[in-house]
Amino acid sequence: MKYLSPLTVARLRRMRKHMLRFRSPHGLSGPHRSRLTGLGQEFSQHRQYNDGDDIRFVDWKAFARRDRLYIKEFEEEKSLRVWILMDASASMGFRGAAAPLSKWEHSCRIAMGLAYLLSLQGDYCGLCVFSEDVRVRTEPAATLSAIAAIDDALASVNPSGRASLSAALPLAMSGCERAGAFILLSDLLDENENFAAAAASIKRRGSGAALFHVSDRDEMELPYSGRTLFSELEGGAPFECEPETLRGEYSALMAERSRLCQSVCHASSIAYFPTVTDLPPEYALENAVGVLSGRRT
Amino acid sequence: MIFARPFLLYLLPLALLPLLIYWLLARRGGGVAFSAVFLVRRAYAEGLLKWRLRRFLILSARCLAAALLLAALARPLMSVSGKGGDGGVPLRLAVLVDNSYSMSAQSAGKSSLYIAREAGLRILSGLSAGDKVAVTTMESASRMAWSPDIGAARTSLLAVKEGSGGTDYASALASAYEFLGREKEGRKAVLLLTDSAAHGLRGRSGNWEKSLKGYDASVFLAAAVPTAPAGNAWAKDCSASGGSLLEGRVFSGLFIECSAERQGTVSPSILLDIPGRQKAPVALSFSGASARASWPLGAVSGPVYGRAVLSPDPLAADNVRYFAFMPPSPRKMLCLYSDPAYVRRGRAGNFLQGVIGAGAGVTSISCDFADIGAINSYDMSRYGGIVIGGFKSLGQQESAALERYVSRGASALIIPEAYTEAGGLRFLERILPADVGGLSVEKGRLFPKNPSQWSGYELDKAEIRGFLRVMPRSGSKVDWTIRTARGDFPALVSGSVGSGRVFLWTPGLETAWTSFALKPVFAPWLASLSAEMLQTRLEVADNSILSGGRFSAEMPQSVAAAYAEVASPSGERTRVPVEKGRYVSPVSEQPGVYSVFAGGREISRYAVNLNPSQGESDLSRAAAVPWREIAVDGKEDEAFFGALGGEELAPVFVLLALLLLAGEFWLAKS
Repeated sequence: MKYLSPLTVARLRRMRKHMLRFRSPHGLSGPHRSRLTGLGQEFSQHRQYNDGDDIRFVDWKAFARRDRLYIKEFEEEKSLRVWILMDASASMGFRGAAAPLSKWEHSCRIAMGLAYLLSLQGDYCGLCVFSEDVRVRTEPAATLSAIAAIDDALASVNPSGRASLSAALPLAMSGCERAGAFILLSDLLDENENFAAAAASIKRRGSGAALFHVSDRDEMELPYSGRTLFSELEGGAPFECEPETLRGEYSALMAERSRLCQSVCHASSIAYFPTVTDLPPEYALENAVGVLSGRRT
Repeated sequence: MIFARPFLLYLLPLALLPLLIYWLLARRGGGVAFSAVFLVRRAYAEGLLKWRLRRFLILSARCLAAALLLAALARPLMSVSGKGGDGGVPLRLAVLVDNSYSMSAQSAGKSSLYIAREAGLRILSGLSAGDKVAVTTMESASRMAWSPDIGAARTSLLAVKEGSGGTDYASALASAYEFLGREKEGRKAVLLLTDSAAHGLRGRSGNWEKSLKGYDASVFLAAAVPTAPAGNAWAKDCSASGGSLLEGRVFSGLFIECSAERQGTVSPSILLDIPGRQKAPVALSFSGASARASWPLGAVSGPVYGRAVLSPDPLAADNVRYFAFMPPSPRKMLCLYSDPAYVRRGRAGNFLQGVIGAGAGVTSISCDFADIGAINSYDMSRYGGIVIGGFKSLGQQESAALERYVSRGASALIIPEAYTEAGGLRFLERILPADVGGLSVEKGRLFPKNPSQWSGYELDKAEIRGFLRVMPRSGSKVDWTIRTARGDFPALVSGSVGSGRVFLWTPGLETAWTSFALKPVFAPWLASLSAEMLQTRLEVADNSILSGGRFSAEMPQSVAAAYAEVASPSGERTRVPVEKGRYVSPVSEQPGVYSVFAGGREISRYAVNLNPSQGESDLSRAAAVPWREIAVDGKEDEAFFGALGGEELAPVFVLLALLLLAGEFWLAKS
């Protein structure tokens, strides 16, 4: 697979004991034992029989020993349907001078890692790649062949087009039925700055969600000097300036954007994971697994 | 604010160099495909005003710092409004006027002294009532005194005339510092009115003024310096050569040579002006800075005096060189003998006295006769030749004195006689022209080398009965010979010793050996030999002194007077006493030819010239001077009082420039 190396797989397997759970407005969801009794296989407890209880759950052996009717209760096990939403706008194709991967490649590696982890814990994982419109969609499945299908789908995509999260994200989510959680990977470079609307649309779905904010170091620090002609990856008129003279303002703007995204995510119960392309994607995965499994905050 | 070196302000446009460098070095980077151009655009829009302001501040700071540093080079001074110096502090001003003869150099029809004096008057007009001023020439700086009031100071300044002396800044400044050091209060200043000529420093360099006695760094030292003329030439020296004294006071074949020097590119001509013998001007051909010209005068009778004159140039005072060449007095001969009977009647000395003795009148030559034992007590320089005769033997002391005398250029005639002992000449062996043998007693006749000159003198009647046998040495000359039966023997042998000559007459003059002294040929023979002996060391006397000196000479023996009168070129006569046969002229300042009268007639002349060794003729400006030059432009008072009261602002300018550069550094880095 293009975006999932054996080395990554080996590291992910060591993380399988940590179950990924997503916080939603209704609590946590994911492959865990439900506090509600259900039709699961795992015995939970006995309780006294009440009128109207289904006699199929009466423990007759206990009745024989104690001469009282007890009902056996079982824990319910749920499988999660997780949709990985990938921003494939042209800006995701940017790769800084010091970065080993472009933002798209970096995101793909994280997405594949998450998909693999989810499949290990029996969850269903689907993929939706979008830019201005939905470009690729794979239905959720919990098998390794589904993982391969996701990798193929990612490999077939080349970042292009303009991104407008507020418009494209609801469109992408509309096709994601019975979604238990959404994982969004994007650089959030939306000129309209309408990320709050996008977060609101996630919140409205009532599902758990996590956001991987992918950035390149050059985007954060603007390390260029001399008169430089900046051409827009997503189209638009080029712009010439002396970057060193506006580095301060630019860095402040970037930091402000990150703070804004973080606060919006926090308000919408979306787990926020900033990641930079000059670090290995596994770092971002480990961090996310740590947080989502409850080991870290 | 004024600037001590305002010409450096022309460099101020260089302060714009930072701008030029900024635009030249603004690098043009490449193109970048970027993902967040909208953010770059937004950052640019937000920071544009701030960025432009910062760029403006940085470039302004750089330009301003450069301008301040350049202005600091021009030495800015805080000017003081109003006059009277340092904010009401009374001024103590010593004005030193350079009246050396270089100050008489003309520029635009005015002498440097005149221009400097006018500048000084303008500065004096700026003094306040509480100020004190002393005005004096540099050469009389040691006698400096405060003027009663400013009006008197102006009068003193106007009274200064061009002199003929030199310039010595060090001694004048030392006197001024000492004078001002006696003042306890007030702002002290020295104002030089000078041409700032290099010769006045006398080779001093560096901070020489600090070594002056009484130097005070707080004394403000300034100089008003007129513009120097472009160049100057001067007559440096005149000399006479090649002359010989024939008879009495007649020069023959005299040459006068004059040297000249120049500064700059002037090309003057020179003429020789001798009363009655003026020569046409000749163009001087300079080799480097010096040139020479010479004139043959032919036979000249008596003293030669006059002047060499260069064509006009900015400094006229040094264009003339006066000279007065005098023929030497004819020197006497001295006859030394050891036997007092040598001069008795019938003896050889008596024959000599009869021809060359004082008052003999046979020739113009006179001869003193004295005992040879007193040879060291005589002023031998007075005698042109010595005759040694009437001796049995010459001692070592006499021989050494004779050798010294001859080797300096005089002549000696040695006449051994029949009674001269064998070996009597052994101490003279080194100077004799021949090796001495024994006495030879045999008959012979005298024969001259040039018989025609002596024809008619009956040489055959001069009998020789004995003589000293000699062997002429290499280089010696035999003019007379003795012809005997055995052959010819030298009679008169001569040779050179140093710059003098020694003659040896072998037959003697006593009648025991020869009748030569009794014959008619003897007198012309002796006169001719004496004249030949006196031909050496005839030098023309140069009666020249430098301005400010005194001329001293011997009174001629023929004049018996108790005093002499010295007549200056302007006709002024001064009487001077004659003491011990000598007279001394008064101090002669005015260049020209002076005449000396005594006993109702002119006895001598002497020339007075400016001293060229003072370097006054070289009008080159000193390269580095310790004083602040005040430009002579009609605003000397403003410049002087501005500089006097002004504080140096250069350190403030430099500090401001450093602060600006620090701010620029901070802005650029932030």
